[in-house]
Amino acid sequence: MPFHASPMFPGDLYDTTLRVAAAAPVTETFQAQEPSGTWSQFLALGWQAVLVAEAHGGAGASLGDVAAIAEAAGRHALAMPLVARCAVVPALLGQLARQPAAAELLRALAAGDASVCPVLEADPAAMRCRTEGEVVVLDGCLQGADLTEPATHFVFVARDQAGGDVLMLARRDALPGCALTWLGADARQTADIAVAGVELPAACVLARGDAVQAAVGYAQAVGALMVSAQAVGAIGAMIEQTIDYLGAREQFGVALATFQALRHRVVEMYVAYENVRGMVRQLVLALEARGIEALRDVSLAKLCLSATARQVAESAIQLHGGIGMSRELPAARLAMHALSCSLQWGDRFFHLDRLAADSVLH
Amino acid sequence: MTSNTPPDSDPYTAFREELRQFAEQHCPPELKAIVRSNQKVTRNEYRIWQEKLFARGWGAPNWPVEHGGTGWDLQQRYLFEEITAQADCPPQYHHGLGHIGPVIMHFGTEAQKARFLPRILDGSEWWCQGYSEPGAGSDLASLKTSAVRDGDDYVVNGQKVWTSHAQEADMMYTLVRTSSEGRKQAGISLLLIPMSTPGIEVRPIPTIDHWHHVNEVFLHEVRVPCANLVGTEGEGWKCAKFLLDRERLSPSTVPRLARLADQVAELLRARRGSNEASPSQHVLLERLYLAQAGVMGAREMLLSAIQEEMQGTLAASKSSALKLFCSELSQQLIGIAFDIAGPQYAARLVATVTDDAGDTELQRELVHTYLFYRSRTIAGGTSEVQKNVIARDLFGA
Repeated sequence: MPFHASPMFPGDLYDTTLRVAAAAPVTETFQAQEPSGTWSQFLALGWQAVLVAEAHGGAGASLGDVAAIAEAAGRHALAMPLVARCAVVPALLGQLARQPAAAELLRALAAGDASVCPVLEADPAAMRCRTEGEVVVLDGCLQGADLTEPATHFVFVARDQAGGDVLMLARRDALPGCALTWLGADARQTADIAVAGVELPAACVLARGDAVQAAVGYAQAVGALMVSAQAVGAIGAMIEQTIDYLGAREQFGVALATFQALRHRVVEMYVAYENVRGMVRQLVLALEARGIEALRDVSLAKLCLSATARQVAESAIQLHGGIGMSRELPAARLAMHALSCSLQWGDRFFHLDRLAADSVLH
Repeated sequence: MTSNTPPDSDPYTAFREELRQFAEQHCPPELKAIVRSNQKVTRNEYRIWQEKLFARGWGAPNWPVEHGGTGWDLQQRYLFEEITAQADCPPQYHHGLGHIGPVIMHFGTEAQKARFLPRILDGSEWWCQGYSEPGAGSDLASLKTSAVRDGDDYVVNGQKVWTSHAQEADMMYTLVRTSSEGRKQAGISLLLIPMSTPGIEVRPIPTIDHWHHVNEVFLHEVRVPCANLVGTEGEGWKCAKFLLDRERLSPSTVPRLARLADQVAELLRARRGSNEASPSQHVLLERLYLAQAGVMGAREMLLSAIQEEMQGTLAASKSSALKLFCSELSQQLIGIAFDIAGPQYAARLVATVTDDAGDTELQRELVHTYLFYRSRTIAGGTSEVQKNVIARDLFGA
């Protein structure tokens, strides 16, 4: 029996997500006004509520449960903001739940009445804020908001006049429309939103100063790990499809699968896959158990995963030959997806710099 | 939605502490110094440590209780390896405990079990592996060393090569050809040969690492009692495969890699000095981080492989992937060390005239180790052979 990837966290969440993802159509236009049918199903299934504590109307489940969803979605290169909205936002707001605004929003997103788009990877200096009495005034740009599916709120970091970071929450309709929209290499849809003199109530401020880094740092690690789980799903599926293709395609009168040079390259993909799969699985459990103590290991894993995602994506395209360049080929879309995962929630250099900065070598 | 939740508390806290204390109190400092400085570990050091473990009842963590094993679960076995590696205790000698011991338990007679297992357990008898021959490396089944039945003995003639530890071993488990009929695998048998038998000559092979590790073993009219045949005649290949599958699953591999990664990190820290921001430091750091991540993934690969092996569901591709990955990872790690130590120490590998006979300088041993580790991707099945094995599984043909 040829290779079939086995899930890191098998169970209902994995199976259900896989079933929905398998039926999802591929879209290649910016159409974030209405939720897609697939996203609506995920909202109805309660995927945004999985990581939200029971006290806030969520399921209070574990990171392993979200990882199951992410891995299954990754197998179909699903370009939905699952990690951002079902993992990063609950992890972020969960730390700030003593604030009424955060608690209320957790409840709303758990019920599927809200969907919060996090914009945490942009340079905070791109958005300036100043407090004037009871309001906060914003000027600048929200860069790279993932609006592949519609959002009701944004959560983002701005910079105040003293140079401090401010974590803010804004309703979508409190900010202007999209200035620029983009379709990414992996079919994700992002927007830049230009803001000039927009006034928000002071209650929109969720955290200031060091508290921002603490909350965002953990949420970012959750994002890095979950997007890694998504990449593990994509890599496993890519290897399966590459093996199938090499078995079916004949040249020189024989199946490509008979050539040792090609077989060995697939083995290299597989061995790298087993290693990152083990790494991510183990870290999902460790992050749950050890919290921020495990952040260094998350950076190590993301650094390694970025290299592996790149290696496997490039090999899958190469081993498919000409057809590997076609966007209609699922394996090619998986390759784009894995590459994109490798860049989200901290690319290779982000994590390298972080490791070097707070290194155990000190 | 609770199935994916990790356990709340660590049930192994007391066990860890027990291991830590034992490693602290019972492993002699001079042994630890040898391990810490990456010097070659010989029979003497292995034996001292094995005796201590045996006295404590921990002689064979991987054996069943009925043969003197510990009865530890997988987690305990791993913790044992992890904590003893961190404490710079020597590894346990693998040829007896890891290789031929389990083969004798599985295929051997009651008399063989009674004769050989206790001496492996207490460290009094030392084994080496007579597998490779000049014409039989990766293609092991084409071995020619012959064993011909003569009364109650086999008479063995031939030559083995790359035989590690032959110079210090009491016994050699040896693959011999008992028949030239049929498939070449079918004519192979496994014999247990005392190294003191007349007709055996051991010659060292000088290797690039300048350590005495491997030998040629010549066998001329060597008489071996038929009672030393393991299993039935012609069953040797089955035993050899059983053994090779276990060889790839040694739980000590990953903790030793983790220890090496720590040492390389220390080396890098010592190198840094005033050059913190130099490009070379950054290049080395990234390689170290990638290797550290690799160790993390390898740990999980190993634990899941051992778990599957215990359940009897382990695919050959998994144990081969582990061997392939860990052997390459060990080379990456020692490669970093070589890049750091090389310029100064590669030219000073062997002290010919020295005022310091007891010199155990770490960097010099790292150069030895770098050279020695080239064999990691050759011994026990080359990386290329592992890839063929894995590909057969992945492609289903």
